[in-house]
Amino acid sequence: MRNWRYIWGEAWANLVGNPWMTAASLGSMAVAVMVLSIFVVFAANLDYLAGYLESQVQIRVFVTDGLPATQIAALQKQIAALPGVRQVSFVSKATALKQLEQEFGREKGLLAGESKTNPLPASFSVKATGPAEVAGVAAKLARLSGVTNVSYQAQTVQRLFTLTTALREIGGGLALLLIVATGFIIANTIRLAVFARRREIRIMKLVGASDGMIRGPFIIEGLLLGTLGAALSAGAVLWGYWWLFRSAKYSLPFLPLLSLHLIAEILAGMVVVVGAGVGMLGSFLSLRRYLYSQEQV
Amino acid sequence: MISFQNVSKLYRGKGNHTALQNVNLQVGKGEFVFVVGPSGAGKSTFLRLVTREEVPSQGRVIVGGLDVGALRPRDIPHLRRNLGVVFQDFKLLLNKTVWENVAFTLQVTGVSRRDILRRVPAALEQVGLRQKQDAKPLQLSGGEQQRVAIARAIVSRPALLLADEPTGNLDPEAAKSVVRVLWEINRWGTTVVMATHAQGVVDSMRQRVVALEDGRVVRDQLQGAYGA
Ligand SMILES: Nc1ncnc2c1ncn2[C@@H]1O[C@H](COP(=O)(O)OP(=O)(O)OP(=O)(O)O)[C@@H](O)[C@H]1O
Ligand SMILES: [Mg+2]
Repeated sequence: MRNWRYIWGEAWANLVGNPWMTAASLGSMAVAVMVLSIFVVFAANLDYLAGYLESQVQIRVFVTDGLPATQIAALQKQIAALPGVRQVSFVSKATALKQLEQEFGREKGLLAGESKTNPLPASFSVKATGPAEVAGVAAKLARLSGVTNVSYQAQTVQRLFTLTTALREIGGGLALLLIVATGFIIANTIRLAVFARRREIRIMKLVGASDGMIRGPFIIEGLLLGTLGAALSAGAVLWGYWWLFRSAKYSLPFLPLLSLHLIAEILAGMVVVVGAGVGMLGSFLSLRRYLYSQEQV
Repeated sequence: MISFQNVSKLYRGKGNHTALQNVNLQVGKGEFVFVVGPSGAGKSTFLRLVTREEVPSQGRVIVGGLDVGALRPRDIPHLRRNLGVVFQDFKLLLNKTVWENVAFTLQVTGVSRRDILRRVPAALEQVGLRQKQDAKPLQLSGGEQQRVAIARAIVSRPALLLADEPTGNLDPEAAKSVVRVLWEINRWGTTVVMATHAQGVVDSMRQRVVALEDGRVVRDQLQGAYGA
């Protein structure tokens, strides 16, 4: 449509024609979105890490020393049948010792004397279907006969739980705050643009330009500012993540991190929602407030 | 073309001010009308009621069959596309060329490029500024600037042209050139209503004169003069 050509042309001419305004507005927009993206990337990874650790939570079920193999097999079946249990594996006395030796590696000598009389009990390693089930499953396991002791990293699970929940809440609040802030930045820029072009707007109104024609360039200007500012900072954050991701691969290979690809998707979503959405909404609200308050034309 | 039916306009604010009182007036198609009167008589208010920059406090303003005061905001553009407006201070966009100023009216009302290329030169021709189309407004004389403003007002081929003291900022020579252009536009069938203080212009033209005083029509004379 030819109107679109005019509207985009005007919006672009406005941005290019006021380079300082554009730079200032892009800059503040970029900073706000940068803080937001860093936070989102951090939170997403922590969430991922929590999920990973949660899935790793094991319940150790120690069995009475010297329990016959038939009873052990029966117990294993019993455990596997419990609701909330995803996986059971048996760790014999010998395996337990081997694992211990592996963990201590070079200091094997320390354990050498003890290996003749293996003090480690046999156990089952149980994984629950989810972190919420861990406590319930553990309680049921403790009641089984032949079980001496049940242990799991209760605190780790609990803390991770509270941390991720808190993070989500704080993150939500912060995101909202930053989104509102970016909205204000855009709205203010548009307000100044409206002011700078008040003569043109007045003439447009007098010659019968439609509302869409008058507002269009400003809405597009907001859209461009928002998208550009957001894309700028999202790009920077993505680059930073790539850099961290690469170094973490070598120095912290066991740390579970979200893939670059996924982060890029999250950031792209932010550019669209925060940048484009807030950009348009900001200018729309600004126009409602300033374009029509000047005169009731 | 224009019909004022018992129109009053009250500006609210500190000390309400009645700018127009019970005005009844008809302006027919193709007429050329001068609106005269002392400062503050209500001439500009009269024109602003026609363009819907103001709404009447009482009575009805009918323009081209539209009840202007009752228009919904989104129907206002429709009214204004059929009106041309010219002001004392030209209201040109100083960063645009003559051509761009005139084309602006068409661009923002969604006229096609092809039509713009056809109509802008015609409008510039009509005001005698075809050869100045690439100049910026400040490179032109006052009279030329006002003629650009007139070209902008008529490029959309309105049935009605309103001019609020179009010669107020001009010397007599420039004023004459502007009035001549308005007159020619009127010859082509456009209704022209011009508010003015320019006694010489009014007296030399011998057209219909509507005199306002304190918001009332005190005289309405065909082939009238500035003074009674
Ligand atoms: N927006 C407004 N708010 C309040 N009062 C106004 C407004 N516009 C005009 N008036 C008042 O209404 C009266 C008529 O004003 P108007 O501008 O119509 O006069 P005019 O005949 O055009 O005068 P001039 O020859 O000086 O241009 C004046 O007393 C003026 O002060
Ligand atoms: Mg006036």
